[in-house]
Amino acid sequence: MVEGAIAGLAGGGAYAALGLCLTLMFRLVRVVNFAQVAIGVIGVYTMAILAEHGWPYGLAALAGLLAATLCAAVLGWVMGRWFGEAGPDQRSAISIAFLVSLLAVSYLAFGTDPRRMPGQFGGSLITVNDITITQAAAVCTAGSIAVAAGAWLVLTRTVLGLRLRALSERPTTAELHAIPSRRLGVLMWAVTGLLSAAVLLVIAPQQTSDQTSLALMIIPAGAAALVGGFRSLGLTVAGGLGLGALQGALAHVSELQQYRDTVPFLAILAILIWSQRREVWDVAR
Amino acid sequence: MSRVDLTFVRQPAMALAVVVVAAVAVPQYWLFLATSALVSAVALLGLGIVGRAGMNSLCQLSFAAVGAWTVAQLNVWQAPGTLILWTIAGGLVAMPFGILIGLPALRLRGVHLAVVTLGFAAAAAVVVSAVNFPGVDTYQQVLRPEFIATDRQYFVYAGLLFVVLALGVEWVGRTRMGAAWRAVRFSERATAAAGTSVARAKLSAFALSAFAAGLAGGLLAGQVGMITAQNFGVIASLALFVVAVMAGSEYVFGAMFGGFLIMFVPEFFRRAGISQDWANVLFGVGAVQALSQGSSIMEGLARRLRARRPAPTPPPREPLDGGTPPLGTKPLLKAEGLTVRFGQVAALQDVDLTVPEGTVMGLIGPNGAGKSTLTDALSGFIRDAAGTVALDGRSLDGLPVHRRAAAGLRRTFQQDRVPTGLTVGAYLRFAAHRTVTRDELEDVRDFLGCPPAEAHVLDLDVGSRRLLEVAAAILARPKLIVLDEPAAGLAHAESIALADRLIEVPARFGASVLLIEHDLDMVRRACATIVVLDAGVVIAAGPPAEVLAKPEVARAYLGDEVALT
Repeated sequence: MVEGAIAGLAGGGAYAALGLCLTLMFRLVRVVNFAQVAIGVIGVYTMAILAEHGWPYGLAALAGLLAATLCAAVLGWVMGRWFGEAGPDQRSAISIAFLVSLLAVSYLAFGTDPRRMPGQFGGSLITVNDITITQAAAVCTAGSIAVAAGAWLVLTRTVLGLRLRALSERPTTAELHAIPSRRLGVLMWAVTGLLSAAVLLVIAPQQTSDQTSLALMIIPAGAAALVGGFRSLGLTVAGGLGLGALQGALAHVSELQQYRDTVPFLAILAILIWSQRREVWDVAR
Repeated sequence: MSRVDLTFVRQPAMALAVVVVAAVAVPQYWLFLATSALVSAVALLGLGIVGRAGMNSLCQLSFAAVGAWTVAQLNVWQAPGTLILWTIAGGLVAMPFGILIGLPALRLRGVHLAVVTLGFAAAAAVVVSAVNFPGVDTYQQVLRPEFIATDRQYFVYAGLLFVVLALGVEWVGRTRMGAAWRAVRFSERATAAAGTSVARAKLSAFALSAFAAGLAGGLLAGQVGMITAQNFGVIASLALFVVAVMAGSEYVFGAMFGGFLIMFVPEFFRRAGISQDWANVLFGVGAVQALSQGSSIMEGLARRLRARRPAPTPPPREPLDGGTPPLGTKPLLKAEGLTVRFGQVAALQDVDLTVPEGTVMGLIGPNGAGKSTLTDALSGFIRDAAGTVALDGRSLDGLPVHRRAAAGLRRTFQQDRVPTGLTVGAYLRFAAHRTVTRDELEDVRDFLGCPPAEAHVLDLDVGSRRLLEVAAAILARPKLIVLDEPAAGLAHAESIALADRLIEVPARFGASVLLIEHDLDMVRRACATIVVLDAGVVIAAGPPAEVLAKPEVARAYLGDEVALT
């Protein structure tokens, strides 16, 4: 059980980091980006293809990161160009269209056959009391915490962070103060796209996953972001890690094993029913 | 009595014509695909229902899986009623699942709800692939009755089912429930203020949407005979949503066209030697294009058709002397000790207010005086307001917004809150929240000089929408109407004309009016008494001339220095 939970931290760290991307995107560019993980899929498959063609891993991974960043920047540009004034609902609906299209593009570009994913973090790190901590679990957990801390520092301590916060809270006022909204929006897309690809580079080799199931990691990531209410970075990390640990632990209960992927949904439901128990109206007045 | 409105038959009738022509013309080779298109169209009609209510559902095929599972199980049991009744049963069984998924929608909206539905789609996919569909292990095909055994017969059956469902959806769309869906999409506050439960509107939309999806699942089970989990994947649900956005599944033809796109576009690509995956790329681009235009393909067509027949604009409203404002005697609304705090700020402090029966009373005060907060507190939008409110001797404390409206307290909004998806007539009938005859509707419409019943709210200017909101409140025959700045957006002459009309309201429609306004000319003209609110406290009350002459009122409006000179 405990071993399962620890092993689940690899996935949990990934959920946390991807959830952070979602939270940052929602806070700063007003979109729940359903295509967030699909962007990472483009990156990790680019890496796999190039590695198959004999590129050294480091170079292939770099190219993959670049591909995901570019892809995200293009999508961010489209969003800013045509939907700059749209509300979060509409922007999120567009990101669903992005997801469907990106997956199709990924099938077209990389084929539907399963690929061998070269990776760096396959082995175990340490073994304490018969409980093995894998490298992937350690990297993902530490990585997600580092990303959260980094994002918090940037947002609260730098001019860029100040501008981003201004843009998210009062977009029109921010633009009147000559803050370039569209450029910053594209930057946010690019950075979170890069981050998603980096997460998948670590996690994809650990599981035999096709593009679709990788892209649907958006669901546990969304659950993690919901724990933080799409606002709090710390709670998002906690939510992601908790969810991963829970899933890992359930994998060791044989009756429930095949249903463990329903955990994100049940978690989403429970969180929402709790956090939204008070009556809220659609607008303040 | 009113004529029977049969416009809801128009689109289903045209769909029927298409089905009939297709049943004769489509070659055998394409029949299977055409039937699949109809199955998708049925599911899309369901998506259109939640779409009308402004909600995104990404788990339509999960509901379809429930329907298919039900049909497969009934087939294994050889239950009576043949495939036709089994399919309907499939729709019915899917409904509770729709309500279950709709429950989070009561508190959540927009994107958060989309995350929930996507989570459900994934969870359902896991469950569906873990438990086999009934009969699959024993190779038991779903049996069709004799008369729909051939492919062509089954196509006609699917077509008829689509047409019947379309008729139902269009008919419900014309009822108050259907109007409530469109109203919820535009503004939940205004929907509740019109006496309609937001919860019921949302849940009914989800339930009916799931019903349609369940039917689609049952149809599919009958079509392919043996169903597997692959038929109900998450990505397929997402693609269905994207096509619904692109084609406009709120329209019968949009759903039909969407079904056609989903099935035939990949097939065309395949025949042209191009990868079928291009279809989803195309759908994604199409949806982005539709959203950038602000309308789906069908909605764009509908708008263009409407623009060809613009509704006539009503003549300008002339001032008509309505006489002197009536002075009521018997108290109707009694609010005592109303206090509302937002953090450290007291927006209302211990406000006592009595509105008599059969009068027009004014409520004025400078910006930030607490007028709109008072309206919100009276109408039930502020749940933690202290104090008591009673209407006609009945306590309203603790009642939710829509129950207060039903009890006879109607309000309008400062902002434009008339749902744009409706016609004038449909909005008035919806907001009346009771059965009104055509004559009654025309009477009120004419009384305020609103645009004709066939006009679309979307095409109206702000001033006409404000008047429409007032007309709707009157048509509901409440005991008290609270009008929150109804003249904002009206020209001066028009607001005076409105004042004259308001004077007549108590005698003609039996409702008292509490008029909140900045336009003092209008207040002087319309009101028998006025109450002045400043910084959350009542500072004066009485006849307009007397109150407006008081120095403390002038000071509240203009500041100390002006008042002293």
